[in-house]
Amino acid sequence: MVDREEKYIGSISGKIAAYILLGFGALVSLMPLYWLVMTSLRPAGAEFTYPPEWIPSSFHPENYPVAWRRAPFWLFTFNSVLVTFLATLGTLLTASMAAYAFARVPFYGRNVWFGLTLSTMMLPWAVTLIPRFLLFKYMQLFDSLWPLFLPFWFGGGGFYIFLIRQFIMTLPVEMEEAAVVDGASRVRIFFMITMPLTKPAIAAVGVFSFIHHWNDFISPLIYTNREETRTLALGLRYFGDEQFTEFRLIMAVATLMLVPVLVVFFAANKYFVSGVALSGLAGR
Amino acid sequence: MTSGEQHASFEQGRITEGPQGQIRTAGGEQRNRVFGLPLHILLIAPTFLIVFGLLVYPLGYAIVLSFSNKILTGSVPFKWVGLENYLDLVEAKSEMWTSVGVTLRFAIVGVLLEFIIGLSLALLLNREFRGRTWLRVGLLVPLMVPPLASGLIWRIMYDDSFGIFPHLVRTVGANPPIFLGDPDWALYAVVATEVWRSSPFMVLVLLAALQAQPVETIEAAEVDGASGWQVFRLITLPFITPVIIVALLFRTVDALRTFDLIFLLTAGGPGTTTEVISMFIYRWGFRHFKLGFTSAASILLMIATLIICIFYLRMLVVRQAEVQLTQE
Repeated sequence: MVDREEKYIGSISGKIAAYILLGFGALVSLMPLYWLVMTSLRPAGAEFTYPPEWIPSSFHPENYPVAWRRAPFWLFTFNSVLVTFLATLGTLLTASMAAYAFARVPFYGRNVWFGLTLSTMMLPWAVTLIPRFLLFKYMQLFDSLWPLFLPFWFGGGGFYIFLIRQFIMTLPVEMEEAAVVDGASRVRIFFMITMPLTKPAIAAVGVFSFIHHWNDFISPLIYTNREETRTLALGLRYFGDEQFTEFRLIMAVATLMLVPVLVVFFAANKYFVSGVALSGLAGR
Repeated sequence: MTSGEQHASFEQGRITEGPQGQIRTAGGEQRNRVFGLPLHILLIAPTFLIVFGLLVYPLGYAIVLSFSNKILTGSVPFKWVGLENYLDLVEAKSEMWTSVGVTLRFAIVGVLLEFIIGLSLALLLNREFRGRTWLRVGLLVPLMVPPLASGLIWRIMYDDSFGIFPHLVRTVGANPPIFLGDPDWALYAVVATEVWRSSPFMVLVLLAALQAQPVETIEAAEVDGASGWQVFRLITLPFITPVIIVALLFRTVDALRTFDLIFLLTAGGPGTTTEVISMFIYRWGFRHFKLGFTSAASILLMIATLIICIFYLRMLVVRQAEVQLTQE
């Protein structure tokens, strides 16, 4: 029997090559972020000097408060938090409900509905853009925050349902059967047994959904108009247009916007690969 | 109500659906009702609504609109125009064909590079070594960056007068192109950004697939004296092929509808050299307000996407059939 550990320790040159390639990949991945943060710390006017400096001649953290006061960013942040929270909550609740039904509750036409649900994911958004726009306009929800989270209370999206359903399929059914024998209702089983067991998949979906809504600027761009309804992403975009001569300020706000995403990503990191792996997206 | 529905019949899908799977709940059917509605209706209702609201209704509406001359501002009286929009679109000198070419180049070059990079990095990350978690985290970070922030920062990095990329090119002694302003370069500059942003998705999915692979099969092959390349080609690759197909499908569909990055980096310019199809649709719908024309374009896009999906799914089915044959 070949000892895998020994084999990998043995190939030192292979290991070094792997380190170099991966290190290079990580450098390329992170370099734009480095540039983002460095640009945000540059002195006034230094963002336009040539040649560009890898390390700014002096650091100016005061760019951050200056930028933050230039536009109603607290309001934009509030809008973003509200939309992200409500949309993610809706996604988690309704996607896991639907996923549970697709995985465990037999009903007529289940596979057809599952197929249709999945096919929503393949539809180019441009196709439904205009009808949806007109629908929200008709419902008088245009230029409010409603179009940004309301749709996600209706299943949250095919991909999320798929991810959670695949995960539930891998859970042993015996536990639920035992609960039935003990007299638990299906609702109780769903909330007390299935949901807690599905935590890794739900965490992964939560992170995906959070990142999507926090970062999304297409929907706000199309469905909102007034300054009062701007999210952080859209606010940053207009800020970028207005302050295009002061890149360091734009980059300061962009950096701040990135912080919550990175925090969530690091916190949920362990669920990320395992959530995808266990969901059966991989390996089936 | 059939008798089957009076049981709480759990399914494992793959495993057994026998007498053991059918267990009567203590309170009978009543316990599976909430507010008098059967539970499965309640669980699935939101999804029914969304399938209707996001698929059936918009699709139907888009099809109907595509046969009309509807204009968002309503300045022109509404009229049915039959196939006119479609004919305008497929006309040889139509701008749509430029967009189609741009979209195809964007999608093919982008997805191919993402796949090669993603697979190599996933294979490297699948080994045991110190610092693996940190490298993985570092590699996945671009996935998290708001498109807006990446659009802005890449625009700055590409900028001709103070960007870092032209500077790096000059450092090695070459004359840099105006990356985002040169019709020959703009599309590939955008592709580079897209590859930076989306390769981590490939890494994530393929790494998950690699880690699901049972160690025993690899060990057995190694005992039999297989080389690293043989193990990869004959064992690992067949194992992850279905996932590769799914990942390619996801990324291709996504690349075909890319909007945000192009909107932020070049807005389709210079000229229309980076105007992908969704940019084309956005321009005609929300700049010129020609909703009928735009709907026709989006229906064509959907049909094209559908054909590509079917192509991939067929590959998947053929692949699974092959696996079943070898197992028998």
